[in-house]
Amino acid sequence: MHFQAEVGVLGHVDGSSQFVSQDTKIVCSVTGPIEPKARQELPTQLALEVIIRPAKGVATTREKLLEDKLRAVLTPIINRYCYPRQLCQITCQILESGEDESEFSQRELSCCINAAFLALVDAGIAMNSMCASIPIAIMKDSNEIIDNPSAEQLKTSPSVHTLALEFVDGGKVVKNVLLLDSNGDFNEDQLFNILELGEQKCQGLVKNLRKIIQDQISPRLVV
Amino acid sequence: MAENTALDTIEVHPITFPPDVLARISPELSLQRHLSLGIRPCLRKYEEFREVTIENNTLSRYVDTENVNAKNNILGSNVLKSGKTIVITSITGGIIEENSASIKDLDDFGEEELYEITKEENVVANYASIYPVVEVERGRVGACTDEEMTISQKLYDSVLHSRILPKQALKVKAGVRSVNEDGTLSVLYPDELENDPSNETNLKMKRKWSYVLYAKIIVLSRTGPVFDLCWNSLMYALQNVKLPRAFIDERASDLRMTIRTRGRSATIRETYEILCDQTKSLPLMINSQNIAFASNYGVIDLDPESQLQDPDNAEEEVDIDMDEARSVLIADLDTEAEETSIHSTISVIANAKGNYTQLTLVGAGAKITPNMIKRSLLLSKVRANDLSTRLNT
Repeated sequence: MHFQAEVGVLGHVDGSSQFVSQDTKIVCSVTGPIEPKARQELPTQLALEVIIRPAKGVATTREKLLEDKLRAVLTPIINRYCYPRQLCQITCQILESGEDESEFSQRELSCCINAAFLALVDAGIAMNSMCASIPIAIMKDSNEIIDNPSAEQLKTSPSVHTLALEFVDGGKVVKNVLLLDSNGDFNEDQLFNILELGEQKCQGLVKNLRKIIQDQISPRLVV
Repeated sequence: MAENTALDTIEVHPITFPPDVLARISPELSLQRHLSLGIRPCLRKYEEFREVTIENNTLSRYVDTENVNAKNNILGSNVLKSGKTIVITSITGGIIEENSASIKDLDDFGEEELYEITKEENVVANYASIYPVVEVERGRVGACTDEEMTISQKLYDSVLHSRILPKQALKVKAGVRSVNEDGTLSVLYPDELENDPSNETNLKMKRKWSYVLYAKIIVLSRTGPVFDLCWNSLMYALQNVKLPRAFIDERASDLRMTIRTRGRSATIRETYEILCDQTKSLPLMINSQNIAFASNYGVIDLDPESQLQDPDNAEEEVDIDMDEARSVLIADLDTEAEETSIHSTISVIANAKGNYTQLTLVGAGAKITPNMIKRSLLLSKVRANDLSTRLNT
């Protein structure tokens, strides 16, 4: 997956990132750990408040569903028992969706996951593992699996997918599938091909994400 | 007291709770205890589904085909019971005017050609969805919860991407109401006049309308995740939807349009009052081969420390169990204990042929292995087969 990313782009939050891939552009901010409202507080672990703002208009149920999926991905990779009775706010602002919003959300979701991961690292929140996410489309006649498809490719493909994998050991070992969200018409073989190819692509992506974090941190290290 | 040094006499009493109390205060432990016996808190086996009973079309205005209840605005309905949970789906509709750019004008094609075209361009843009509102009754009023919103949106997305509702099927074939010589009103529909080609051409209208479908899904006695129940209920309901015929008044049809649109008074807008027929209806032509049914699964690691041991050979069992943490696949999640303790879930929408239209895999807990995925796909295929046979009963 080809992308450009930057961390620490915002000054007034604890962590932030910008993630651009093709026509999709996301800015993500992380504030936390901070004091939660009484109803958000969890006695033993960190509460997460995930907000996604659309490129145009106000947030609808579509963004609520994206928030739900993003939360499902982030919850297991954050070491939440480190911060009991605290809150972490994760806000993703979609600047450009890069796809037809009325039909698809795969590109936005993948980029939000990657952006949120970078911003969480930038904020210094304790993490259990790393994650990387890619959108996938299966093309009609060739049955070819395309990672990071364009808006046009999404439109003509019979099935579209979002894959997020959890990595440990310096990004070398896949620990679990954090999210696989598939829509359209597909069969079992295609599904396992997606997981196989997705693993390779995510591995490449997580390497690049590590590189970005490394470049950001190394100048600040006192040797 | 400080001088009391005889602390070695302290006794530790284990606290015991009845099973139902333990289930409330420690659902995780209660679940693990049950699983170690090979059953679940709801007393089902690991891969056992709940029985589903359905009632189709009992609430619709077209229940009695002879005697249509015009005051009822429900076009198709389903009541689904699964365990303690009841899901009531009622489908209503509305009519919107198409703006001509939004849909391809395919009017000049015959039915068969149309089918070929939609088959060729099997892209999502040619399909519509239904607008669902899910209400999970919890005995209190207030704004809708996140769960209700996400289920509604997921239903919308899944119907769209399943390619069940072609946009073509929602087009209104509007008729014209005219006043006969003797003062009575009669409605002519274009497709009812096939023998009379002259009439058909006269009835062609410039403006186009489409039906939109809304689904109200009420969930009573929620005991676990309900997306799959809502989806299945919606599938049953969609299959018995009948769309009312619609017509416009003769004076508003294009027969007289030329007079009004002449000159610069083009700003005068023709008002088309489109009315629905009280009795006549057409069945909704859905893509029935894409009808699919949903099921959900969970993956959980068995905790060796929570195992109930057989008192006779307790030592042997401990040795075996401690070696490997085994994970199991649980089908059709229900009860609070399962919902709060199982974090790895698989939700599948499958049709009976073995194709899948939706899959959501969340691995926040136990590791989801390829074998688990294969097993859940197989089970969902069997389940879809079973559920699809209930359509005609």
